[in-house]
Amino acid sequence: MGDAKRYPELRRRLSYRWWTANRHYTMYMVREWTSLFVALYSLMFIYGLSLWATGSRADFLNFLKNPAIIGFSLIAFVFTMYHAATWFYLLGAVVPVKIGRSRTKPWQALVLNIILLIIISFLAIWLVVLR
Amino acid sequence: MEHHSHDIVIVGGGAAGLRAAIAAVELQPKMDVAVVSKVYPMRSHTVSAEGGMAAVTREYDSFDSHAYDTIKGSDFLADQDSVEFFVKEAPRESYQLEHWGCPFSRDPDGRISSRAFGGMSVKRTLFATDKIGFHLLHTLFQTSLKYENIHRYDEWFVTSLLVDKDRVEGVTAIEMRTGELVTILGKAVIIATGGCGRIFQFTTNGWIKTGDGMALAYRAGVPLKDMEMVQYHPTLLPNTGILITEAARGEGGHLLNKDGERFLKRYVPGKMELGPRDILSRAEMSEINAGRGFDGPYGSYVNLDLTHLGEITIEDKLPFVKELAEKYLGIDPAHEPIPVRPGQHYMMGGVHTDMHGFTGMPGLYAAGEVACVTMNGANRLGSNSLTECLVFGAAAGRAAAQYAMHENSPSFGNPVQGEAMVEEKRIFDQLLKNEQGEKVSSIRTEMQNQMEKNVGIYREENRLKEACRIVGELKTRLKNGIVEDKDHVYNTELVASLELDFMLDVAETIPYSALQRHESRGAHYRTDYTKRDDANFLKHSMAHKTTGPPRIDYSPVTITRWKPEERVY
Amino acid sequence: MSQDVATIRVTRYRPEKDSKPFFQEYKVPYRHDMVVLDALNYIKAEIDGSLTYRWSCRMGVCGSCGANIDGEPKLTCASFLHDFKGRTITIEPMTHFPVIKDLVVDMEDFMEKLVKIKPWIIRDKETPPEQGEYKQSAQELERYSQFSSCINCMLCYAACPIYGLNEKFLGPAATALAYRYIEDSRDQGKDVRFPIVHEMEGVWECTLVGECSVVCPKGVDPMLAIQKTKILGATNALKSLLMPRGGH
Ligand SMILES: Cc1cc2nc3c(=O)[nH]c(=O)nc-3n(C[C@H](O)[C@H](O)[C@H](O)COP(=O)(O)OP(=O)(O)OC[C@H]3O[C@@H](n4cnc5c(N)ncnc54)[C@H](O)[C@@H]3O)c2cc1C
Ligand code: SF4
Ligand code: FES
Repeated sequence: MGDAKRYPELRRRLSYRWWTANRHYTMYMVREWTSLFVALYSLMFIYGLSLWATGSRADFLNFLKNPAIIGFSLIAFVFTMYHAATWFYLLGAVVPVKIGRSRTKPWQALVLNIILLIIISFLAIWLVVLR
Repeated sequence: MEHHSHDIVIVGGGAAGLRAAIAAVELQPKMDVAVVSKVYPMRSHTVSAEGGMAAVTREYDSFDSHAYDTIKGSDFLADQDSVEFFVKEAPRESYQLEHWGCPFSRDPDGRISSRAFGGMSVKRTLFATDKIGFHLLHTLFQTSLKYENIHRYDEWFVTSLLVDKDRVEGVTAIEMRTGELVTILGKAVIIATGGCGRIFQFTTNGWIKTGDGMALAYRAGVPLKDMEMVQYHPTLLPNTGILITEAARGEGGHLLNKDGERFLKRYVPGKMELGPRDILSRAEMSEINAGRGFDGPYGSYVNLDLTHLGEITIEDKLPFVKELAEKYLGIDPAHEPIPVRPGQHYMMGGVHTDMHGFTGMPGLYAAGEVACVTMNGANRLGSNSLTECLVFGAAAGRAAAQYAMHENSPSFGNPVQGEAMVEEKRIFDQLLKNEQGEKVSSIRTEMQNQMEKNVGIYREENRLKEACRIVGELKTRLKNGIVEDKDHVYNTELVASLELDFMLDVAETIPYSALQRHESRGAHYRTDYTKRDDANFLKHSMAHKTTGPPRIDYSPVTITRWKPEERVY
Repeated sequence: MSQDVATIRVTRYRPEKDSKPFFQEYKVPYRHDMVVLDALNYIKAEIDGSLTYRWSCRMGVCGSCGANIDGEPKLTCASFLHDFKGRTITIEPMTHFPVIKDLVVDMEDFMEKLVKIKPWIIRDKETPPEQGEYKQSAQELERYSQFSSCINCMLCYAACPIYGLNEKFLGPAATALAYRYIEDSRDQGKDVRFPIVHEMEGVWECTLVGECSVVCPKGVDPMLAIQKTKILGATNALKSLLMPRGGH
């Protein structure tokens, strides 16, 4: 309100290492980085499919057999799972379900969703491959 | 010196101040209103009120019943015309608050729930779990944001009233952020600065409740009424003074002594835990003095037992009690009793006003805990205070707006400008410049201990005299007090010393008023005069400022329909 | 009661003297039941009258006393010294906010955000209070009551790196409050508030760090409010896409 002389306020800038300040920030950062691997994996997979589409199924299989690709897929899998898990957890935090007087906890959503994920994955495998 | 000008200057952003501001602009949308507060309004101590606010909203209830309970609770010292006005306005104010969004707890039919409270003969206390003050304050504050004509001065500390020929013309205030003294002119000023609990050592009141407004008015020549009437609440946490709300008893909690006995049956058999606060606090002290209290590190205490209420009631109706007990005592009230002892809570007395908040000095109004209308007399009933802030805050806001409509704006010339310069000198050239002397904090501690020791629940001639003497000495000592922080920007130590200066003026009126009341009435209990004496003391004490100790005289009590009778519960 | 001594390290910044902040250390004797605020009050009364911080209620409800304690935003009146036993306790002004002096931060930015979301009941038509209350069921109350318990302590802003990176972000508490009114059955101001919370610097800036809800001392869970606001916004957008005229 007043227009009297003002002394400077201390302005602090966020350090680029802010995400190391506590465990939650670090986990958040890791979660964000995992998306990069998911994206790379998708690109790789699209490339593989394009090999298939241009006709040579063998090229596709060879591409997949490449140890580097297998290694990368494994890493991508782990990261995707991490991303999925944190996502399921958040889902539980954001839309808790009320049962009686208490609300569901985020970890319950996590467990339930993982169980669902496993069931659906096996159903998909069964439908596409085994049948 | 920088100055600002408004139609109305409201000192205080608690329940009373904000309600007054809204009332003024609703009556007259062009009215230019300033709300000056030493803390951001939502930090005002109204925020800590827990239990509820009283209003007649049910078929089973009546205005007469609310009025009678209030008057009987006041030990017949309340002005009955004020009480009648209050009970009639209370429902409208409560519904207005609800319309503004206050999240009241609800009954199954969607109406606002009500609960039992001490001294109220039926359930009439409306509540929002056990956080009514918090919700009320935030609702009022957020609603006030919608009016463009309400201008806020957040974290501005008012140091004096500016008076020209008995007419108030504004205030001086320190803008905390710059540390400058600034003049804020107004045709009318409303004081709504709350109580002065921090005069005492053991209190439910927050750090900011230092009686500033009482001292402002008192210094400007307005008397302080019924200052000996200090409410001691029966259930404070023994260490911190944090309040455990009366709603805990309203919901069925029991007070127990060391023998596990509900000792109130010996004192208020008709009401038990729902008896009025003055009687309950004395009952606890009697038990403790008879050796039936528990011994603890912070003195003796009794137990408040909620274990029989069950977890669900506690969680639904008293979640804040649970939070406080868990956090500050590590106790789950569903499984263990809560230790409590009585302590200062509220000021029935305050700046003398009529029903419209008018103090008698043209342009000056007061409302809320700072004012003494008087509807609380010698003992306030729990949950009447918040409603009082709304009813009389609105009344004062309207009265000030009416007045301001027909007045000219004061100009920033003499004598007002001169007064402001004198104030600037006093603060920055004298108080802040003192290089040697006693620390302000130690003088404050001594005042608090003195008031606690000699102006407490039980009073007696010699101790009151001692308090008068010592508080007088402390005033002299403060003149040589030192403020270590010499900076201008956000100088909380400087503000604390100005607050102490206010507090000492206010503190002095309490033992002086108490000394001359040779009777026991409501919260004022004299061990040397244990009976109420209507023949000589059915009257309000009025403390006037002089150059020496306060001068006490009396004014009559307004009796309309309820003749004084013996007060038994 | 045993007396221990705590070492307290506090940020000092006095703009009239200091061009840079520095730490000052104090030794405070303490009892088991003392909170960090008690230690600050002890320092101010007994050691150094110039130490500057805000406080009032000392019962966790006025929202004045936030600070970073050992790096985490907390209410000083609700943090016990014994939880830090044997360590030096570092007390700094809440992160992200400009500092006025010592632990006192500038909260004007937050106050502006508060006004921006129009935190009052908006009605097409007012009913006079003489006609009694607007009815509200316990279930309707339940939908917003949690979000109405914010004490404006701003700890959530101090915990939010998004706010630290972009000061314009509406942020946790203000969104929680907006959502509180959106969900209140008595309010009819959705159309006014939606554009505000969904604009550029509104809820979509939030990338779910979630720390706001971790530090919130009142269980408001502002992150939940932000996500619920996103869901409401998205379903509204979808509805108006599918039913350009009818849906709301
Ligand atoms: C713990 C507790 C629980 C309570 N529970 C209940 C209850 O359940 N029901 C009930 O009815 N009552 C209750 N009360 C009483 C009631 O809360 C208060 O009496 C009431 O809130 C006072 O409101 P107020 O507006 O008068 O003052 P406050 O809310 O104290 O506001 C005072 C305002 O004045 C400002 N101010 C003061 N001095 C200055 C200055 N020098 N310069 C500028 N600004 C200044 C402050 O910043 C503040 O904004 C309770 C009280 C306490 C302490
Ligand atoms: S949401 Fe929680 S942390 Fe944020 S301001 Fe409100 S009470 Fe404080
Ligand atoms: S002092 Fe009020 S919240 Fe800590």
